[in-house]
Amino acid sequence: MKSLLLLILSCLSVAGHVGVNDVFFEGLAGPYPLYITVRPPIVIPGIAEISIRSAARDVKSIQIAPMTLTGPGSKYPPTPDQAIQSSQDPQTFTGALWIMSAGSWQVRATVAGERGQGVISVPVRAASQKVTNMDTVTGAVLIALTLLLAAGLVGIAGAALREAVLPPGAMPDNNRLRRGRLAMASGLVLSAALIYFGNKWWVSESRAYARSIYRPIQMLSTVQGRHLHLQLSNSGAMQPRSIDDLVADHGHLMHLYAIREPNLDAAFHVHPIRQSPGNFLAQLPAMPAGKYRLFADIVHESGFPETLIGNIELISASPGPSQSPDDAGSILTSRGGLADGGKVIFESSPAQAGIPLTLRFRVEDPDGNPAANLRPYLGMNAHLAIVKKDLSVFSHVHPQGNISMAALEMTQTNNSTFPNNVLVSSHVQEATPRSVPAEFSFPFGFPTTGNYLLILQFARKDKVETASFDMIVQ
Amino acid sequence: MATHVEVLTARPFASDRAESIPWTLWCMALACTSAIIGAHWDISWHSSIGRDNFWTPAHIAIYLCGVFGGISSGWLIFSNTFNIGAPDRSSAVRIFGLKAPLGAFLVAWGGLAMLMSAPFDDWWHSAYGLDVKIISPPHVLLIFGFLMTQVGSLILALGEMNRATPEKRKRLEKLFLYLGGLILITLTILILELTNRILMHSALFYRTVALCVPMALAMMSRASGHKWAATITAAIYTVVLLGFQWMLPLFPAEPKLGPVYFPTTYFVPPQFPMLLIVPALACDLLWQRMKARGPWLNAIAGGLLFLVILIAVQWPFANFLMSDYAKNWFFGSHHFGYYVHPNSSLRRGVFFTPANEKALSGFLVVMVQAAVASVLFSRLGLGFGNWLRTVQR
Repeated sequence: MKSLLLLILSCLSVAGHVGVNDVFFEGLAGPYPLYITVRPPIVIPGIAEISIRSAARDVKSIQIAPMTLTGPGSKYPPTPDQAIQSSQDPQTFTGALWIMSAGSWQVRATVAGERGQGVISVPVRAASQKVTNMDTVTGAVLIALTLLLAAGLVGIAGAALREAVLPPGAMPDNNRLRRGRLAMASGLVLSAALIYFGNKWWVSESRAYARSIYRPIQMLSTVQGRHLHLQLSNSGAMQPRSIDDLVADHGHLMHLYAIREPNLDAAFHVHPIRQSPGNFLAQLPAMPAGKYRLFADIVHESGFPETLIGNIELISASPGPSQSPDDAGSILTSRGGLADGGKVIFESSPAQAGIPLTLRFRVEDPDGNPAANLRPYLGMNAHLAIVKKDLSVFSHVHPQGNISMAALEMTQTNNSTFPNNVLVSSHVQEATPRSVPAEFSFPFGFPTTGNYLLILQFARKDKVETASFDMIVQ
Repeated sequence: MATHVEVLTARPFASDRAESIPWTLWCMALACTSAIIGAHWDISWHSSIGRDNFWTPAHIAIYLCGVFGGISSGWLIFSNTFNIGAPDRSSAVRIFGLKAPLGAFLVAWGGLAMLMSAPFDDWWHSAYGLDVKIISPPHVLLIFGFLMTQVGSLILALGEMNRATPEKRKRLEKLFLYLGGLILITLTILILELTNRILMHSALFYRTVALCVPMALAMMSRASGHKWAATITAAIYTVVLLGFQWMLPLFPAEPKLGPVYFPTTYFVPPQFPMLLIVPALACDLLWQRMKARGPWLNAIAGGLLFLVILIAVQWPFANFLMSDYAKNWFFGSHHFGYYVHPNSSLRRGVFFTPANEKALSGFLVVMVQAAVASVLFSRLGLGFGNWLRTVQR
């Protein structure tokens, strides 16, 4: 009998991009290195907050403009906004941009400085996140004004039939008084009807909005033998998207992380293959038994990225090997230690929730020298999966940031006159693998306080190394 | 001698004051005008620039409606209630202990509704995002506030008219007809989204118009007693809309919101006005000949005539508006908001048929609804107009 038993289950998906709404990006606008943070609105249409920090001191001004990532809206940028230069830190610029519809957007930053002009576009995913309830004070004010308007309507109706048609100075007789009372009763009924139907309308608008709240595509995950089957189904919410409009993101239609629960002590990065519309299959690598949470990154042809969530349970260990040479992962035992005695050093300033920072890693050989023979892994210098210990946050980050690399390529394709000065390779296996420096940095901002696990993956010689680190966010 | 001089000077002054149109009425007319300018400017702003803030000139023009309306109605309520400087307290009605002409209370009510729409709209934006449509609950409350301000001003003018000397009545009648024209314009703002030229070959368009326009024309016809009241009301609508259509593009503007599908460089005006003046003229002619008949007969004949004539003129005219011949400064079919998608019916110049009208039977059902609405709302307008004629205070 095969060591790996059948099955298990399951589905369920919750929030997309899993707990991280903001975009953190590093790139070059012409000669100017920028760290860009975009905080998309949680209701659409709404305002995105933009913060840009230039590493160069000679940046004089930055203009920002929002555009859709693809389609006719990506042709004509609106009049750009002048980002405001901070008086405390002249290298920091901030601005606010309206995002008018859910979907794939880009924020274009045009930089002017002593070395000329540079342009860069950052892909931004916009989706309504929640329905806001009315606060008590606003509710009380509106109820009071509604009652006042209703009372006014009743009074006006009464006066209209009681006195308005009387000659000046005449007093209303009993008939007029009776008509006035009847009119007031009618005014009361009319007010009640207006409030009732107005409320019905409001509820229907609110429900329509609630239907536009982002829900990720659902993923049913099952294990049969040594194979992982994934079946996608569209929840139907939000913008046009389908389970079969996916585009390759640095070489694969799907990047799936399987992280063992509850101790987050094993992590695997695999790449299921599309079998038919919405159906994916992966031959599992060697994996220990246990329950796993799955996070699957996909990108739609519009550039809209999603992270799908699923669960599996391996009753016994998977023997491997994986079908794809790009799959990698391991039991996370050593914090930064490598099999050959080398190590990965992690450096970061103290992390605070909501504050952008740069996570830096340095790979050293057993002698403490910068490691040699590093190669790109899936076209990137390195990959970093950031997982909150309670699994409420997951983000797959590259040195460019937590944006989809496929979406970033679309900003280049669609804006050929404004190329991003960022290296993006869509080739998994480069013909002549370039050499990769032994230091990686990732722009990111932790969304909430708590304990996080950072899973770093990079290629060294012909092997993909996996190292993990703990991080406490205040 | 001193007494004699006092009498000689006092009499003409009192007489002038009695014959002049009160400042409160001018102030309310200014409020209504300001609202109409502000509303069209604001719609154009959202079609051309997109992004706004609390202090745009268009918004200020809208707020001024509340300010002018509030000043005049507030003064009338205050002066009549506390007997301070009120010209004629005997022409007031009483509401919850307050005294003023009925129109003043309506204007105050309209101002309050507009005031309430502000925090409501603000919350609406924070909960459901910025509106990209006119018909949302807070916007309808705001437009309802406009309407009540205008109806209040109309009633105030009527009260004055119905108590005035023939000469003063004539002058007030002009103001009254002007205010009626503004009411018609406000109603067409309310139905703006359903009266686009791409819908002019759908029954939905005619049902929408039938729900608003015959009521206003019938009301104006009956309330003023003027032979050509409906025609003048529709003419004011036409002239004001043409004014906006021809003047707004003279001012530069560019989109400050994305996505931009049509890179406009000027303020996008409203579309060419509907040909309401033709059915309005027909209704005037009809009602002149049917004065002696009952209101229901007037409503049935007037409502149906309005609809038939509107279809007869607007349907073929829509073909013209959709053609390249209308893409010029006069007809303005080449103006598009920055957000109009190249694949939309409007940009492609094709009529839109609602799903329920794809079959002829569905189209006819909605057309019958339009006819019923036109008759019923004509009756409502005639009834309201008849009542307005009797208003004294």
